[in-house]
Amino acid sequence: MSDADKVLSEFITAWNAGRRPRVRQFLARVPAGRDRDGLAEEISTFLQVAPTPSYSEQQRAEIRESPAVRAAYAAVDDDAGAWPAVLPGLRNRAGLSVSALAGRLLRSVGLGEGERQRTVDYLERLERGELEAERLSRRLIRGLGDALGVAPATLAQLGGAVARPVSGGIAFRVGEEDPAGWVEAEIDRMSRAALTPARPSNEMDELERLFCGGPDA
Amino acid sequence: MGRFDDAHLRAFIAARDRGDAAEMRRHWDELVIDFADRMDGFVGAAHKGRLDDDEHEEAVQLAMIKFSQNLLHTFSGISMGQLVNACRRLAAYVCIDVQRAAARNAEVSADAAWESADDERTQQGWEVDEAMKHFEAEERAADLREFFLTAFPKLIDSRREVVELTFFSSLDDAQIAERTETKPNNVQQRRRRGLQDLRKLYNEHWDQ
Repeated sequence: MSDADKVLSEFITAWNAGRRPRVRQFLARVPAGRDRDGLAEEISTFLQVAPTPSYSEQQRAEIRESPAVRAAYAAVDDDAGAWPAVLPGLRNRAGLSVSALAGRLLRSVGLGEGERQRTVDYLERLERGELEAERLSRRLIRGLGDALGVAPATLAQLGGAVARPVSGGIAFRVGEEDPAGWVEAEIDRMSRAALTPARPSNEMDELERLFCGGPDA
Repeated sequence: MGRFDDAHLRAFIAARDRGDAAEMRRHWDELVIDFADRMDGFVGAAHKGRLDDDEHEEAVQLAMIKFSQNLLHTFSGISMGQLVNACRRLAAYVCIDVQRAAARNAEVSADAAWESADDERTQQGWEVDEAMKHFEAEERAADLREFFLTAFPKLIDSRREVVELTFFSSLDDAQIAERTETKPNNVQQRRRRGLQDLRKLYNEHWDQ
């Protein structure tokens, strides 16, 4: 049995036992190159047919608290979407300060440098979860995708009307402690929004429309 | 399939069919948990160790967000096999995206003049174009399903059968060969030609 065969066998055993094996750790045990690539293919094929392990309640709770799952829930549940969970990481990986990102964004959307500080403020609010994802414009998402080197479609999934059709959005905005009461909560939220005089977009300046004017602004 | 524990998916689909949003949500929560480790694995296998830890975690995070949103909004399948296949394709797509961004950022870091470069858009133009294509493709997702419905009947029977089994089953080539009473080599050839036909039909479809 080759090393790769042995590693594959151990991975399968660990998966089936519910030990939550990490593929990367198993791949690292095989020299980079053809053997590792082959092992990756075989593990991927196994994962296509592998049963979902019987996780314990504690394991399910751990998975629920993982950054990836929390971000997936936030994209659906939170007004700010998954932007606060994801944007700082994307920006850091791109090696950009908030100010540098603001500079790139301004160039991408064709606004002048004079707006940099206000753009920084908006970006910081976006990272803190203080902006409603539903009010972000498509132009902003394209501009951020451009600035960060990320497909706009990926950013559009982080939350907001761009990613969330009304029916689906309503269907999944559930109060954690009162699942049955989510409809009322949603209707209440929408009613309040409807009763709050929206600032007409023609009263907003270009930058405000970008961050708060809604998908089509 | 029968090999997966698909209780949460069956409950999710049943709730979706009934229009029972609260139950849908409850089982969606559980499905997201069910798929987290599998997605992590698919992502790890897709990049084969070529992403560093941070990039890997980012890819898993983005893939899970996309997966859970797609499950919510666009997944119209009914089996775990379909969902697992979608999960695998998504992991591969996101890895490419993250690898591309990492490569681009490495280039940018090496170029201290990025902030002032006048030709910045030219430099990254092809990537932006690619990203826009992805974005537009996402927006057309619903239309795409309609496209498949009209395109499949136009394929030659032998190719259509292989392409359908490729998209909508989890059979491997040997199993598809057995099902279609041919050799694995022929399966690969029919799939390649079927996909070429689909691409041609796809271009015609959007040119209309």
